[in-house]
Amino acid sequence: MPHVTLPIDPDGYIVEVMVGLNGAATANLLAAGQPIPAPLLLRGAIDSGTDVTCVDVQVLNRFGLSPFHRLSSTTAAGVITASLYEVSFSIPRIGRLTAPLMVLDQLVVMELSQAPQGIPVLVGRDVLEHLMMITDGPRAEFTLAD
Amino acid sequence: MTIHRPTKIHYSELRPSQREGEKDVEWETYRREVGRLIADGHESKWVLIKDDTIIGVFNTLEEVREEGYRRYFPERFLIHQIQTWERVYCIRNYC
Repeated sequence: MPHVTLPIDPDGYIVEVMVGLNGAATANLLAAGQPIPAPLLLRGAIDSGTDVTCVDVQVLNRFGLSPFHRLSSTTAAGVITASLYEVSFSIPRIGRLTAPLMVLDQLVVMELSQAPQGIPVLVGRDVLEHLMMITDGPRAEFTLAD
Repeated sequence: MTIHRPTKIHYSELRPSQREGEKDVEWETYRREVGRLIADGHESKWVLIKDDTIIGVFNTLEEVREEGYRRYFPERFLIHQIQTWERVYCIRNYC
């Protein structure tokens, strides 16, 4: 089973993720002869308390994406309406992996207007549903497996 | 102390979009029209909206998504499932 073991960072369960244009947008740009923005390697924090994976809005803007969906979300100020985007999302080849741990060519993510410092991606339960995750507290490490 | 966190929201209580610097025309159109769409029997179907116009109602997410991308990408458009009660999602630091 492909897996990778990573240290538990002071910021939490940190994993590098790749975010890029979704498959449909890429196909449309290719058909139009337009350049394809390269995907970005970003620092993500795994957060099992988050329903939907969130990405810093500044990252989303770099791909020229428009929000195509909305959802209601709880905040300290009550319920708000947040914008959703569709991106490609992967956990790339890291550690001893010989291939990416996971690749999703379309994942609906919520924009984060104020991302935590240095953490542009919150990896939510929608992504964790595709993986197995084991935490080893005494060794301060965790393992992700496909 | 128990903290009350809503898990569903009625369509009549949907909030305006929080996007900065621009009016979310499509979302405001949905908020205005959702009651009529439900009354017309479109509960659980998917609506495609561009600017202040309802382009169509579709049975599945795949259908509405394909039509939205085909017609409007890379311009903005809205697809949304028509529901009397919508789920309220939880995001870290907010719950």
